[in-house]
Amino acid sequence: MSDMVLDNLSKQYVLKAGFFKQLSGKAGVVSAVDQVSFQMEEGEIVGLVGESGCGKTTLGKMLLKIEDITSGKAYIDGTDIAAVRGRKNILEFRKKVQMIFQDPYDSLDPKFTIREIVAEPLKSLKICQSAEEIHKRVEDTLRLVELTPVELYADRYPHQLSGGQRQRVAIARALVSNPEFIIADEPVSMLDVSLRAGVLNLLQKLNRERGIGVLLITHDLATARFLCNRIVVMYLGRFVEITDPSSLVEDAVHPYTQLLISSAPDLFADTSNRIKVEGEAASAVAPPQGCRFYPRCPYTRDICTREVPQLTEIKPRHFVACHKTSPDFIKAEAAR
Amino acid sequence: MLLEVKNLCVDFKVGKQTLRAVNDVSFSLGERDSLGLVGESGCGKSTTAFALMRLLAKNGRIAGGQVLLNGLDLASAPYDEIRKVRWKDIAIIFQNAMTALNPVQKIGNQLVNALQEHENVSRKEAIERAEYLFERVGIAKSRLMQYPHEFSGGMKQRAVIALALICKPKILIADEPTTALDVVAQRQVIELLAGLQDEFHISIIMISHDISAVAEACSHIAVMYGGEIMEMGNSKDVLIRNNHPYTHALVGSFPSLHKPLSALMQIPGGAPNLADMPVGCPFSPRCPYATDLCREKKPPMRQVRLGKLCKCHYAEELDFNRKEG
Repeated sequence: MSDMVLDNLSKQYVLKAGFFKQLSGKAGVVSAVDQVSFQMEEGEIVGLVGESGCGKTTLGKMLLKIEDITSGKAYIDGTDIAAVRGRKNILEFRKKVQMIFQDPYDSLDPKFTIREIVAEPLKSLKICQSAEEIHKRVEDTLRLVELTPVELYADRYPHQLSGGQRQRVAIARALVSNPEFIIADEPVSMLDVSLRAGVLNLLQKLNRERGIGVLLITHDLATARFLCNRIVVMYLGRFVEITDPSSLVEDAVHPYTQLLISSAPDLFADTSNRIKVEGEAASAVAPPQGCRFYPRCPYTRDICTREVPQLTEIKPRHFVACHKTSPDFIKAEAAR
Repeated sequence: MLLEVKNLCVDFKVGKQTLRAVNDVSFSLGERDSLGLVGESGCGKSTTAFALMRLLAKNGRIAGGQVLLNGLDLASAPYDEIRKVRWKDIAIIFQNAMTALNPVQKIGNQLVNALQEHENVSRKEAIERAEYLFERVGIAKSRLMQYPHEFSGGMKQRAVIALALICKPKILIADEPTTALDVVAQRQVIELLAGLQDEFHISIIMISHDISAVAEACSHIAVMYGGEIMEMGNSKDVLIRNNHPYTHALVGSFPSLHKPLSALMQIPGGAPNLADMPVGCPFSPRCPYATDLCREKKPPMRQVRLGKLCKCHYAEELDFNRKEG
């Protein structure tokens, strides 16, 4: 069984417009996520990588039922997310799926102690009844995220902790309900470098020891490469490449993935042949026809401006959505 | 030397306490040099830059040292002198370009005003220069008279760079110029800064927590911790051959796209508390190599080899070379 399945999942936002424009269907539509499909295996850590505005956070929010799905299906642990309705079912769902937010300075209530913050899901999701049970479970979870000795941290307030410690509290809060799936939206981008490693190592440990599936949403390929079993590269609402982190740098096929790798400043990179790029990501309000990357792509051909490239498996576990990889295209190139 | 900073100290008054945010910082900058100040939040890198331009907050003051720019000591010069130097000789790109521009004024007018404040030029000439700079940073000159909200994040950052260059400064201070940007836009800004340095013969001080961005943009790097420079030298030499345990840990905690996949290094403990600094080396509470000597006595800054300065009692013995693993 797989942890997460996406089947032609889409999200569209209707732009603000007058009443008659909306009626006549002339209001602008932002297609934030456009027909994405993916199968995540049990206990995997999958990295969803892309620039700001590419739809990665929107996708995460749909999986948590914070945003409604426009079309398509999404399943987590076999449960159709759209079919989860009613207070009781949503509570059940929230026990299984939890989220870690980007900013640990904003996501913790400053008036709660650490103990109260971590106990909150147990109360609101009605997991534990007795005070002793809550007490024990909170302390066990704090130990799990290595906020030890527990007595030292449990009764402090968030402002008394460092950024890395706060993010551990946020992780503890996500873990306390014993979820099967965690969505981590940029969990380290607000932290200092020396503290990032600790949080990433912790996520890795939790995944290995408890088999919790993790969807890591990030703009940083290097972080995703370090932590994930698979990497999904997203551009303007579509998945453009799905690959193994081990072969990411050598085998990247999609020009956008290559651009991301080449752009990332890196101490250990060979900087001799960097890809030059002009322009910026197109707008999701009026995305280009055909391949959405073609206006910035150095390899654009006619077909790219007309047809949407489909995600195809070019070798085991490596999917690419680019016309460059189709046999017809290669033949045509050879004839040129 | 164009700019010489000697033993700069900056104090902040917080309640009844006086906290030292920058402690005994010295460096020099030649023509067309580029120096990167790196370190984690609270290490004093931005405060150092603000002190150079005398932009410290009301409760802050330069407590000692000199900042010599062409013989003028910016640390003690009267305010009128400083006003003449700002933007004309030293310009700064503030962190977060998204908020550095005035949202209710056309960007072009902001450039023109800055130039006319310092130089006696006509509006027409000023606009011509602004248009040239816009094209140079990669924005169509037809967009000069637009408002900041009409620009994307990367464009705003480039517009702020154009604004900083309008008076042809000799030194450009860039405070986290790439931090809020996506990787592709980051790359464009790094390349732009390098190109501008060649064209306008400016020296750059770049402040960032991202060591890899600094490594590419700057020829020299100073690593700061707890208000002090811990290690300084040629970029490659500092980051590939670390002599200070903090530099070593900092580089090791960065995930890389090209390094083999191994566990990331973790620095135990948290950032130093300025109100409660250790007597000895500021890094000693978190340092795996610390001895009693480190806890009791502050190490002096000294040269470990040609062009490499380091502030660690064991700098000679701790020679971490990343090329050899």
